[in-house]
Amino acid sequence: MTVIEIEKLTKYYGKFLALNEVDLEVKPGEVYGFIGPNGAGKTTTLRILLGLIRKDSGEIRLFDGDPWHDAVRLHRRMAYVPGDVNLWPSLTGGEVIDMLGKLRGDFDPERRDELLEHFRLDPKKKCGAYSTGNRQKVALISALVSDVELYILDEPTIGLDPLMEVVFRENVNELKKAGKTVLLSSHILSEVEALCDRLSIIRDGQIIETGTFEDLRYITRTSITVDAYKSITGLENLEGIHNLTVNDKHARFSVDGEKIDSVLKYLTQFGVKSLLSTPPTLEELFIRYYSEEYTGKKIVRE
Amino acid sequence: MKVNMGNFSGTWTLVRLILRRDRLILPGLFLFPVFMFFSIATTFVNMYSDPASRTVMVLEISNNPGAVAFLGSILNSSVGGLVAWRSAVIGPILVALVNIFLIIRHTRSEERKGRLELLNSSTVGRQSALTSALLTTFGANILMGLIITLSLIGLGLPWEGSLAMGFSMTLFGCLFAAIASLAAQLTENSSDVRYITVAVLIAFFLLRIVGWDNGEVAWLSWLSPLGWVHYLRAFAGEEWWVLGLFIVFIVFMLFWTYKLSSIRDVGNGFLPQRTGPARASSTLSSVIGLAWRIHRKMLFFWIIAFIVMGVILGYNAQTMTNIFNNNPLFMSILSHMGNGAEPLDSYMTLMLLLFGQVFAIYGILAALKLRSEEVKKHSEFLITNAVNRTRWAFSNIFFALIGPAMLLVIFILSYSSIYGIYSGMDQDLSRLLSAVLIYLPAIWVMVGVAVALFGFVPRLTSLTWVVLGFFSIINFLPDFLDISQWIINISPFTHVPNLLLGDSVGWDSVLMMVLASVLISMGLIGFKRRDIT
Repeated sequence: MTVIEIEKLTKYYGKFLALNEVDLEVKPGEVYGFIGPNGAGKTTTLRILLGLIRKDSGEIRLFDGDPWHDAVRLHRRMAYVPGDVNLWPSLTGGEVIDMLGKLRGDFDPERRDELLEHFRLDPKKKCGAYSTGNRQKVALISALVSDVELYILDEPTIGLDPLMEVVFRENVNELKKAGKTVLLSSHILSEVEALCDRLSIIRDGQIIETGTFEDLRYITRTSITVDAYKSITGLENLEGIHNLTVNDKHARFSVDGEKIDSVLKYLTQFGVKSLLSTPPTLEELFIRYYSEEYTGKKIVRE
Repeated sequence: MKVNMGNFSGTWTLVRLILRRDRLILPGLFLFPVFMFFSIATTFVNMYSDPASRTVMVLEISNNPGAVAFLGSILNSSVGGLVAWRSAVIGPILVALVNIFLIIRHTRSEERKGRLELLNSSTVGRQSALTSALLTTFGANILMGLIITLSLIGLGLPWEGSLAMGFSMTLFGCLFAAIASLAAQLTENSSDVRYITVAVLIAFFLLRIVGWDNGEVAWLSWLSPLGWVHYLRAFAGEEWWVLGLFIVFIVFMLFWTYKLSSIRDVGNGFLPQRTGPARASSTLSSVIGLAWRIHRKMLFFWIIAFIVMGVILGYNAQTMTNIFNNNPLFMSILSHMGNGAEPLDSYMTLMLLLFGQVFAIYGILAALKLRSEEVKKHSEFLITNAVNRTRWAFSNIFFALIGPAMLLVIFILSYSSIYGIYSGMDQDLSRLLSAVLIYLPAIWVMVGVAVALFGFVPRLTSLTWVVLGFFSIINFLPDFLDISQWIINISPFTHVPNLLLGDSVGWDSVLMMVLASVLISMGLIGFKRRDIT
């Protein structure tokens, strides 16, 4: 039983191919990261999942239903925070939170007060007077206040200050403990790294990688800084080495995962004084996939 | 106050930016008052060239306290004097509204959106944005005054009076630009600036009415710039020094504007933010309750507008009917509409003909809230919640349907009660009510057009205005444009029976109801099937 099951999902905006055979599977109780740069297709995927727009082809299942046809029934089981939060300027934050909560049903005022306190939101201000960060808080609280099975969060921390980001992470971890499913779209990598069990990377409407962080680490480069007793030479001739800078007895480079062994063997001949190896961060992972050298296929409808 | 020129650097660049951004809005807005002056002047020049007809009219007006209270007394029975009298209230109000809009657009709204911060962090001076907004608006006001003056002279009116009218409009505009810019320093929110400034305008209007020319406290209208427009005595021996009052007031306002602007922080205001309830009332627990919250402000505004309209028409009904009776041209227009009808009924029918489309404007505005709520992405919160699309859409359409009905009833109640008090005559209220309510099917057809466009081609919902404009043209100018009958028949308003002139309710109205429901259902079906964009 999966919460979200997407297969070969395709969506065109006119002639522009927004999603190209996207696959995604989210299991119950999982916090799933969905990352990619702006315009990659994250929001389009989420909007199809929410029944706001139609798919052109492919399969998509949400719980036991179709997100387009069973929209209202499915929405009772989930909550959504849009990436671009626009609220009714004449309503106060408190009114919006209450209203959206009551519409979904099962509204718990105590939970509401708790969240207001956590996020330090003044519910008496009109939405038109809130800053971007405060509008984001209203949307977040409106979603978190509901006791549902699935939370879909589209770049939820934009505009939040670092302190509030911590509060947000605590709340997601609580959801995880309670066995809820979370689909978190983001381009803030540390956030995804800190929260998510699995992730998919999307670029130009295509999923280019899916897996756990362990899986993805396997194909990424490790950064190495080395100090030796002798001058380091010949590194540039080895396979799998990138971004090399050598300064006599000091060298910095990154190396493909499968080449680490041979590179270390080569380095020992210079007498290694110290060696610092950093595992790939999500940032590096991204730079690799979105750097110039990566050439994905772009398909335009004939 | 010490003036540091660095605070104004970049002002001219910003002026050019405003002119570029508003190259359509600016002339478009100022065209309204100019056109109004022009049309009032043309009417009087053409229809009252005969001194005898003017004398009759002046007598009528002077004996009608309602007309004197709302429009002021006639100072001179020349054509120019009548033009000045007729435009002395509506003209300044229009000019003021245009100025309020422009100043808020370029000061507080810009600040609210954070654009001012962007500018101030560059080499643009602290006061440059404010100054550029004022310069552009003042310039536009001067141009407007010039065009008004020239067009009045062009119509053959004396140049002194024409100049006085042009000047007074320029200065009245600048005055409200100054008031709006001061209000923009006070509050953080653009809508609060609008409330404050419009409240000031209403206060001036009330002072003018309470201090009406035949009353005991006529001096009160000296406290209102609307009174100054009157006391300037355009075309009636101009009192040029009155213009000095405007200038003093403008300078005073500008002084405080710059004073406050130089001591406050960007983004802040001086008045505290208004807050609201922390919890939603029970109204807000349903979609229809939310729709009420979204629609009520506009509905209240229209209700007040049409109460006032009803009061004015009720006050003037007898005068106007007499004017009609004494004017052969009007009589010939009226005779087209109904044979042997009571003049009062003809008058009301003519007014309804005009207002029918105005009520439709409300219906369309309310229906198009659907689109604006979608574009502002407000609807997403509801549709991704447990609300089905049709229910959300219908909650808004409901107000587009019921709102015009409320307005029609309120308008006619206001009209007939004032007319009743004033003339002491009994009226058949149910007859009047049915005469206005029979406009509903035609108005609902227009709502249907808006909803159908929303359902199928959401990007083109503004086409509804084109359709309404087209219908207005073929309904108001059929003879003038020599339009053939089948084209005239396209407009739903053609098929509204004139119940006051003896028409009876026919199948036309039923068919229009059917058409309206078909259009609305189609729109709802289209919306259910399309992407939210």
